[in-house]
Amino acid sequence: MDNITNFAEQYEKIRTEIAKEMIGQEDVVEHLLLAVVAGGNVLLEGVPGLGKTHLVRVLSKVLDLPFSRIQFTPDLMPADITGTNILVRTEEGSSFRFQKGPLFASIVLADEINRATPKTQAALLEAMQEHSVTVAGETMRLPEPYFVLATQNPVEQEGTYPLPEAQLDRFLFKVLVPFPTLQELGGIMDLTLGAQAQAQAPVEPALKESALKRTALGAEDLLEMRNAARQVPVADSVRESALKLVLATHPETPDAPEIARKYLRFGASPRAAQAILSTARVRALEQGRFNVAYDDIRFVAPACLRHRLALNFAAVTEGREMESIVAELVNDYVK
Amino acid sequence: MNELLKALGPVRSRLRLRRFVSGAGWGFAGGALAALILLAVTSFVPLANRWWIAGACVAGGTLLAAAGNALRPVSPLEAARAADACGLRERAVTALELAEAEKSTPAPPDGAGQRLADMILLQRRDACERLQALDARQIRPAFPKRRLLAGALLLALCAATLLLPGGGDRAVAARQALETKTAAMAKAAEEAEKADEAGLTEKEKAELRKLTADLKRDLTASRDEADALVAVDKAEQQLQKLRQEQAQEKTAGDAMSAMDALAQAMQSAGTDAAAADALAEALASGDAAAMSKALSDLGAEDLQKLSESLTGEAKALAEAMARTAQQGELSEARMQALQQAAQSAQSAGSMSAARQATALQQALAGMKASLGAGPSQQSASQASMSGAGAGSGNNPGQSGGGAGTGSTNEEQKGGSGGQKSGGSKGTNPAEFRQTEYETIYDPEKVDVAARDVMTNQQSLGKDSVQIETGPGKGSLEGNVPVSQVVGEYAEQEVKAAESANLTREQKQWVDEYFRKLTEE
Repeated sequence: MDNITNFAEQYEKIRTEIAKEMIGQEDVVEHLLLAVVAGGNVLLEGVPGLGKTHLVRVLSKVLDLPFSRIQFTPDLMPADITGTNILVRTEEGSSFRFQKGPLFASIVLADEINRATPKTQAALLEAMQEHSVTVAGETMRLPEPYFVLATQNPVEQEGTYPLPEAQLDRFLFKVLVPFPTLQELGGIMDLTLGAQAQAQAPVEPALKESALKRTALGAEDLLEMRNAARQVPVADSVRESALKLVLATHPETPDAPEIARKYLRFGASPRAAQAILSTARVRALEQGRFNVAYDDIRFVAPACLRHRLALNFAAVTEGREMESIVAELVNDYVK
Repeated sequence: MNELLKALGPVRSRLRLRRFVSGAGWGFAGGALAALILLAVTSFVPLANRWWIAGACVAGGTLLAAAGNALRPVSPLEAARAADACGLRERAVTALELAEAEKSTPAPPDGAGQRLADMILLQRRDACERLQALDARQIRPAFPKRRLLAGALLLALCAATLLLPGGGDRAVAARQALETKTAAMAKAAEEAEKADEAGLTEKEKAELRKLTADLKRDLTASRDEADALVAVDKAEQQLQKLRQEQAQEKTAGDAMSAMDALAQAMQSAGTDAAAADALAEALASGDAAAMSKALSDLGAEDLQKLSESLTGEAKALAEAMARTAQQGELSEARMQALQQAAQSAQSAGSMSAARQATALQQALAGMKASLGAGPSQQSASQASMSGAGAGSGNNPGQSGGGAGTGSTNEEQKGGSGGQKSGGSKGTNPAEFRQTEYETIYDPEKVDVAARDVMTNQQSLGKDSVQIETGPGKGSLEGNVPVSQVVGEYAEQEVKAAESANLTREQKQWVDEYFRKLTEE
């Protein structure tokens, strides 16, 4: 019972530690933490320089989890991320030994994931969904907890490869990283360009050693939090509203709302419903509640749905944005 | 579970209050709608106290709907939802569902089951704490503004029904006036019946009571003045019949007693039996010569002595005979006077019978007058009643020269009546006379059941229009236009007039009446 009652406290501890290194972006941090505790992958989308990579690195340090970063480029090959068998010469002779790739870490930062070719992107699928990697017919489990936190730059379209729907579906959340406000920007400047910061490492001033060593809780604690969150009950009416919301995104269904029929090309998969309910449970516990409320559904639903839906030509020509459509659906179906 | 339900108690109470207010709103609107429909309909279909009933619809609808809605059981789930809406964030609903699910499928005893049980326990505790801390007054009854506005609008429309030209209120007022009138009539009939009972035999009393009871029943059941008038007519007819029967019985009895007394006196005086028989035969035959001879045989002195030993009508008869005997030769006029004396002796009993039930007779006449039947109409009715008997002439002053079997008509108001009409031509103004109904007795059934056809006749001067107003009472098949029956009436009138004791003048008047009616 303690793990349940202490959940909110532990969660707050993580958030507090991250906040020490992140100025602003509370909503991004909140979503990121929800996804991490729920055990899902997150796609962070924002223009360069907003601290996406920094956030992930801070998170890995706060959680004291193995971290690896993969900078995705067009020439990146699957074996570069999964690992490969290499020939090793020993006294007994030559033999092949598997050299683990960067996927073998608990937190994998796939930076600018849309710059890699679909082939390399597809290499992530198994790791993201099954938490395992298969090389040369041999399947290897990845460490738990395991998260892929990918970043994506929406501006640079030249030389990028949009993620296939199947891969997007593997991301629990797609979190939009907004540009900081004036106050937040000022805070960032103080943190990174202040006198104290100048004395630190020149390359990435924000990642001070003192911060990197700060750990809130370990992997076991995180898994315990995840197990606790899975027990949070959901009332039938609340669950039904989440399921109806997911169904409403399907324009082909007879009960689809007008907005879905008019502007959506396809709807969300059942993984969206799973994502909504699992992250809503985490949020309920984080809020000190032992049940999921409609508010939780409303909070997590946009992040769960926005990358799982596709706008049709009418929406593009009329200038409709995914955010407004999802917000309208949420308002209509989650009372 | 019990703890949770207990914590939901105040919420349920507030929900009942909310339902009461909501129900009152619906009831008010519904009651106002019902009142509007009622008032609209009753503008054309008369209904007594319709405004009171409409008010009762509104008040009753409001109260019933409010009470019914409030007394409807509030389910725990509904209460939990209401509590959650006050900021509990689905705590109550979840706790309730978990409690019910726990009853059916308890958590497995493994590690996951234990975690689940812990979670359920924490959740329920949290929900109960929040429920107990909840101020149930947050659940405020929503003011049913729209429903009240709709109700007010409907009430305004109710008031607007006053503008409908239906005349329902007038009909109701007329109906109430009729009820008052018929009640007064029934009371008057009862009082008259009591007044008339003095001096009657038990049998006569019983018959009179039955007649009065029938009249009261018919008056109470009357739907309009026409019905009441028919009831009074019927009672009058029955009373007349009763009086005739009584009169016949008394006449026969009294006459017999008078003649018997005279015969006994003759016998006791030693009068010759053959002379007494000859006297009786002469008196019966009206033969003046035979009477003169019989009287001379008896002798004036003996007859005078006989009269002294007699009383009453028998004495008067004997004295008349004595006076005749003294005068010698008996003239035709004298013979008629003697016969009249005998008849007066005979009719003494019938006169006493005729005096019986006069109060009821007067009461019935008063009723007819108050029902709009003028004196002439009364006489017509009287004529029709006596017409059924075709004027037997047994009762002086009652044997009417009615139009015969089954004939009554508005014009017959001026017909030569019986006792009351006295042959008058009617007193209603000639330029405009209107009766609410006209009863035409079926000639085939008048002697049996006196079925009639209801018609409406308007007379304006000499023009007469007769309108069928509904299923005829005189014909089982339906309406009987007067044109179809007037010929038959005329034929029967001729037969009745031939057989009735009518004067020449009366016969001429009746013949003239039917001739004109046939021509029309």
